[in-house]
Amino acid sequence: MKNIKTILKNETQKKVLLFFNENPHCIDTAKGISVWVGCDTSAVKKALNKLVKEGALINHRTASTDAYSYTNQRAIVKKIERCIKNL
Amino acid sequence: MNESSKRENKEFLLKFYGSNSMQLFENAFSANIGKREHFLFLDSGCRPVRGKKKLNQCAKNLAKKIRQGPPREIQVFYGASNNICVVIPVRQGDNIYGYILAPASGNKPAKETLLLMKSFMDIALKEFQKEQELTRLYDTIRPRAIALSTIHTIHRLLSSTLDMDELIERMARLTLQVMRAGHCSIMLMDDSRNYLVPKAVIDLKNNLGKAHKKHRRIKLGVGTEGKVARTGKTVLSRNSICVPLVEEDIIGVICAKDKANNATFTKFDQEILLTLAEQAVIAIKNAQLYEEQKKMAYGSIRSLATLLDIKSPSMYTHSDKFVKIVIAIAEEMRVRGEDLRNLRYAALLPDTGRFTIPDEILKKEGGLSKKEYAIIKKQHLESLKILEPLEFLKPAMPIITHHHERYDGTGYPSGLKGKNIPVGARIMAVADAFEAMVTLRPYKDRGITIPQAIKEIEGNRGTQFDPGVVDAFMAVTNKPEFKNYFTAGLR
Repeated sequence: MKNIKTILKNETQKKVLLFFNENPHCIDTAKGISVWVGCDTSAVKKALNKLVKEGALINHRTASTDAYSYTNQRAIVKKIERCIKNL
Repeated sequence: MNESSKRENKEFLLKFYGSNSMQLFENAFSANIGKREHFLFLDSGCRPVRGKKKLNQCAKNLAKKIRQGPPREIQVFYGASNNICVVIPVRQGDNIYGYILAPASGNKPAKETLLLMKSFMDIALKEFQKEQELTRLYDTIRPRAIALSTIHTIHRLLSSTLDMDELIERMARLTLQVMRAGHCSIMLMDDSRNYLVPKAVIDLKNNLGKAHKKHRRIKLGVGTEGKVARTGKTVLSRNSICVPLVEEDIIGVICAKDKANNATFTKFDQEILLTLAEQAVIAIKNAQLYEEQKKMAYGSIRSLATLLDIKSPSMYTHSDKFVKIVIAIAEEMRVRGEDLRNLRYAALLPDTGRFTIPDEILKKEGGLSKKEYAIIKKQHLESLKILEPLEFLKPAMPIITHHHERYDGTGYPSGLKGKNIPVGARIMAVADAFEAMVTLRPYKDRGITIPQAIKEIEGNRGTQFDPGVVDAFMAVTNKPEFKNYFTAGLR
């Protein structure tokens, strides 16, 4: 994960990251997560893919379902938590 | 009033103190009576609710007066130097949570103004209670709604595969995510029902997230997993949680250990894992049924192949090596899943279409007459009718039917051309021709060498055979394991 601060500059990415930090056990689709964070599904989908690329989230993909969960790499989680505290 | 009620009242008052509803009351009070900055909050025992804050002498005197005769309604008190102070009880029914001491900035407020403030306070309290109720609902229902949605997503992820190995590993990874654990193992009961066999073990610390099956089996009743499998009861400890997989009987266990941030596993985790285990059991059972169905289908095809072989060895079926070549080419061409399985079925019964073709035509060496060729085309389709009742072979039928088509459209039975020929049939055509060239069969005493056969296949690239399939075939022939396919029976 290169630059969390840059990620957090995008409002949807920030909301999604805060959501997963608060609910780290959650596994959900873009549509589901868009309900939890109160943002448009397509924007959430874009944010989710960006966060997967950055290593903050994991993508669980099957032929019929595309789901996302928080990273289980504890070093990344700690890094995210440090940044969130300073928000 | 007991200590617990006092504590609850104080908590309520503190929350009310910082709430939006209180802000609204303060605004109304400031506009009508006095400044909000001078508000003092006292609990029902007339102590300041913000513990360390000391009361000034005036407030102390007031507190003393209030203690002597606690007002139940909004009331005006006179402090030192005849300062006017309004005392507003924060009250609902008989319960007084505390008091607000609010100095008035001017004259004694009119009775109507005090009544108005009382109404404002009632509204503010009601609003605050609604706010509290919403917060409570949010705090209790939202995590459960998220958990429910998670379980639903997991169900979707699990039900999208019927491959047992893939399913179990996926299940372990999802459990690891949901439990926020560092270690997850899924063990299933063996056939003797005396041991638990590890099917997937993921340890983030030691295996960098890779699932493996090298762990030892566990005897029932031994260790946490063994005990859970024997008793069917969940074991929840600070650092681990283990739940049984129960269908009618116990079929296995799911265990999670080492929660993130050294947190402890909770009853909520247990609730979630039990629900997940229920989903897992359904998915495992579906996968097991599917495996059994596959085995039955495969067994039926093998029986049929054996019967055909008894009638005339190697006439209607080919060797296992043929099947391996077909599959190797298909894998090289990235044919996967159901398509690969159907191709395997087709490769077991490639020449069932010969069944009703007279032997003298089948065993004839040299070219066929037009009449003989017409018989082959007609009888090929006729013979395949014996496979029609086998429902599970339906997807494989186009492969069996069309593997005598030629890429240039001059084959049989339909004269299909190029990509109109099913890909499986194009693959089987190459393997079939190759095996026919290099195998010694009862009706054919001459074969050619493997390099000659490969050259022949390459020579018919784009005419008899699909160029893409020939490329894949050539790639397969260059693989070291290819040579192992031909240890006997081929030249």
